[in-house]
Amino acid sequence: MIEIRGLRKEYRRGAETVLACSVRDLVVTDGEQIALMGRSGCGKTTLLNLIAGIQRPTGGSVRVCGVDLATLGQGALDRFRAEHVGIVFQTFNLLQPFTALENVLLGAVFSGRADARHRVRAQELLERVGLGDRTGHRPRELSIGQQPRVAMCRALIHEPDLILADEPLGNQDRETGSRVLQLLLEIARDEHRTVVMVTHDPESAKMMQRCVDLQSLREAA
Amino acid sequence: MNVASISLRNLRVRALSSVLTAASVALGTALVASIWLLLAQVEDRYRQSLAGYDAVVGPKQGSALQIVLSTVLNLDAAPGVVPMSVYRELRDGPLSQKYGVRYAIPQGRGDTYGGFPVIGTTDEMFARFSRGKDEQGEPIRLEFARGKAWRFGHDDLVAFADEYVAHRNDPDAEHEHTHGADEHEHAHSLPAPWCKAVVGAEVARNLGLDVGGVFIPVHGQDAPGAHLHDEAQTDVVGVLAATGTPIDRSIFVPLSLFLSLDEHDPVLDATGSGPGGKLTTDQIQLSAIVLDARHPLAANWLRRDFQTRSDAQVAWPHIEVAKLMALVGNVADVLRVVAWLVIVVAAAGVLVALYNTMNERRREIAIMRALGARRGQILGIIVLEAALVTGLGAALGVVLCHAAAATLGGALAARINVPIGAGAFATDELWLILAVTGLGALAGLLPAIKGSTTEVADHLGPMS
Repeated sequence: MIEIRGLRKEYRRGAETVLACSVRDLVVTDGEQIALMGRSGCGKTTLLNLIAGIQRPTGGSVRVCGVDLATLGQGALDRFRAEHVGIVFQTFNLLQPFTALENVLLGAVFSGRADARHRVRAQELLERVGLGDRTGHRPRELSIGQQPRVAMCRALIHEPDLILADEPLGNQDRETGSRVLQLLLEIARDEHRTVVMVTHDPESAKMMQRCVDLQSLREAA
Repeated sequence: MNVASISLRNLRVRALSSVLTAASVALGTALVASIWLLLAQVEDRYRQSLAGYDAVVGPKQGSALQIVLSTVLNLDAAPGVVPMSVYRELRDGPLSQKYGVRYAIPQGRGDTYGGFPVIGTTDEMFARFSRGKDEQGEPIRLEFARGKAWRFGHDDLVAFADEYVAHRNDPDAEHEHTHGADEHEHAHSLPAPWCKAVVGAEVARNLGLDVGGVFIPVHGQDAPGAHLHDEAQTDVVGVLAATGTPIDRSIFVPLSLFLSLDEHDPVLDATGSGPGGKLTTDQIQLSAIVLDARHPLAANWLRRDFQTRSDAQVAWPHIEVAKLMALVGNVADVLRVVAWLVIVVAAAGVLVALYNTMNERRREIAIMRALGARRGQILGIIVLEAALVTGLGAALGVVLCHAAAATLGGALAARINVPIGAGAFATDELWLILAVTGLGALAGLLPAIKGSTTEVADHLGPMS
């Protein structure tokens, strides 16, 4: 599903070059669920962005679903992300003007395939995560435990091959967070989706099939 | 759910800003649409004013436009007088034969009642004048809503003129029409058959004059101190049906009444031009002669013929109204430019309003981009927002224009002497809405470019 070779992402900060992320080799197989761990600032979110095609690497290659992302132009990369990747953001990033159902549907709109079938799936997903009666609520009307569940549904709505989750439990208490993560992993398993999750929490990491310390993957400078 | 519904939702979220922006666009569009509507109705009105005739023969003094403004549109005083000899030439003299004159109808102007002109003429006008053409291209003749026409034809005019001149030439007769300080003291009653009037539809409605009503004409304009023609208590015998022409705003009386009123000297020059220094009927003065010829170009030939004459000139209403519209058009062009400037300023308002929201929307745009939105889709969402708000404003502006015309048209009509109605929605207005919408979309392009080039990773949230 994911194949990373000699990946580097550098930033220019004045005259200085900052290495934001470096991964020697990383392979994630289809349907695998892995946790990415590491200290703050080691490049976990940057790595997710590189896998999602949100950012371009300075060097090395990222293959997702057999496609070398470097070969895709900006538009094709966006389309690829819209079709193959689902993202759960650290702060959920639900859009305030839209209801829970509409926020979920947003995950399918940009692939140009949002139709009545997606509306049904959005409804089903929300029911599955216990928010069947909250579909018309706006994000500010949802509790801190409900928001990540909507974000999860949005990442799943368009049946992506790959789900990237960046600390999807946010500031939730351990019990609520575990329940939400459990749900995500369950659905992903049922639908045979690959999950890559960034987390600081060892308990959450234990729920994944594999745990990778990003620092151990760093290339020698 | 689609990209358009995202744009709509964004507009709803910023409802106040959207409404204010749409309102400013509506104002500009309403201005443009109102100018169009007003000009179209003024032009229609002036073109319809021609009551079926080809030409107006008027005094040599003044311009052809003045003659048309006075005789056709009731908008100006008659610039001078035309001798009755010209009328005779056109009515049954050599010019009548030469140009195939269908009819020539004399008019005397100068009095008013209630602000409406009192026009002395012959009863031929009721049969000859028309108000546009029907579907077969035939002229639609004047109709009476109530009552009927008074009787005073060409033969009556000739008899009146003969009698009047004979009276003036009789050294033993007392001449009532002498100018002097004590003239008003000789107030006299005029023959009852002459003191009849037919009023236009608007006169009847505005002044409450109906069949059986009586009025006293005012000499000149109705103003404080104006001389009342007490000698002519005039009975209304007919009310014309509405024509949509200046006829609706006119009062028609027999020419004999007009010529016999105090302070009206029917004779052009007190010096007799006939044998032995006697006055002739040719010297009787008229304000204008309205004529229609069989050949469509006869009026133009007649106009050329009269260029070398000193007693009258021919005004071609079609040409003069076109000139007038060109004059009005120049003013309208300035108004149009101003109105379009208002729209451009409103479009600039759309640009500024959207541009200012781009910073606060960067996170929202970054989220959509992370969810797979292409730059083109983001561009489309923002441009569509601009187009929707301006399109809505433009449509509102057109509706506003028609609503204003319907409600304020009456008051405006009284000021500019042209009835203004709500009118029907025109195809041009659809183009106007589309043009304004296009302009709005264009104004949205700059904020859209700014929004669509948002750096995604920088605006998604805290980094791990």
